[in-house]
Amino acid sequence: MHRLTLIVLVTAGSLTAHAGGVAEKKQRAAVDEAAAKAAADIKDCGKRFAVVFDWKAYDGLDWAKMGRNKDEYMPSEVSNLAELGKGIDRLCSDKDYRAALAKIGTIVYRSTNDESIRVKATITGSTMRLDNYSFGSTRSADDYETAAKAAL
Amino acid sequence: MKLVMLAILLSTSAALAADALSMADLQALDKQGSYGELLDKADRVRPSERTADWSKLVRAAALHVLDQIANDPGSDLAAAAKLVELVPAAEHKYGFLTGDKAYLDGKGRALARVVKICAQDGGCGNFIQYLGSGVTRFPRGTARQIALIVSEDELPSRTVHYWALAADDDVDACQDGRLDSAVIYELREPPGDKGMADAQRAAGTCYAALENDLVRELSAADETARPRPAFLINACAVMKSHGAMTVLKKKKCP
Repeated sequence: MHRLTLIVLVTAGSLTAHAGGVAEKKQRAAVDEAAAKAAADIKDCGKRFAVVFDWKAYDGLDWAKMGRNKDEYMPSEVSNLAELGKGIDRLCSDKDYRAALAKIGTIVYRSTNDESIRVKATITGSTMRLDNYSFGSTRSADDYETAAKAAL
Repeated sequence: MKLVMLAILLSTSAALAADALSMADLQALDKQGSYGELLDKADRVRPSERTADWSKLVRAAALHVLDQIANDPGSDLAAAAKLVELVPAAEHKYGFLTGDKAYLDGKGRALARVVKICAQDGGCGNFIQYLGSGVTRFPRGTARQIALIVSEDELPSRTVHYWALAADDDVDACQDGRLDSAVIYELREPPGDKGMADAQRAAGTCYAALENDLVRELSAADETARPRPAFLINACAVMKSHGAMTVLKKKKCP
């Protein structure tokens, strides 16, 4: 009787974990898709950029300490990424920014819990990293454009 | 009629002569520790007798009274009442006090008590602004409280002095959106405006927190306009000395 109960519980637990895994994978795929779309939105610089979502940084946030659920914030990261490409693309109409962006190949979007920033851009070699305070309001194209202007 | 006027003048002069105090009187008041009375009456010393020692006595008395207010174990409300009674009259009579650092620091300490009441009850931003005029140093945390109180009643640019002091105290104040507004609004004012040095200092202290808004504003300013927009003149002075020389800074802050 006890063994049966245990088997039922273990099986139910595995199914739940499996279901959660699929949902999480889908959410992660949606975030990666949003990053790919952001890259496609940068049309006027005459070159292609790779936009990468920094999963290591996202997973590395101290979610337990923040009292937040990692899975619940993926949809808001999709929203945050939605305007990234448009923001960077706005810079391409200016020849000076286009020239500065010519040196950039990869744009890394990095989630942070740093309340002191909205979006902050840092350039290292051919990579522009955009740190975003992920728990504020949804970011607009203007936020990314301004952050990039502060760094380029 | 002329006789009446003369009589009035003579009686007034006689009264003034009778009310006149000597330096010895002031020194006696000082020795007795009657600082309030000394401050009240020091202007009755004849102008020709107002030596450096006279100024010294007045300064010391004002400071003693302010320290008494700051340390009075009575209620904050009573302290506020005393401050209201003292400050405007003393600064009106003895204008040199407004340039005296020790006096202004003492005023800052005494004002901290009034700020406590205002922080609870609100509605005294203008009053604090008036009493705090000239003060550049407050007990830690007071400037931020004043900035918050004054922000309720004043335009953002009028609060920048207190926000700048608050950021000097604790860079955590840089995260307050009201500091951001105060700085940006003041930087739009003509160069040399009263709060400009404070705005530029706060912009430097809080550069990381304000950078995006400074960049946004810089970006929107028309560098070809004549006269040159005030924001460009004021902000470029700070932005050129902070961070890398970006495309935007090269364009707007040559």
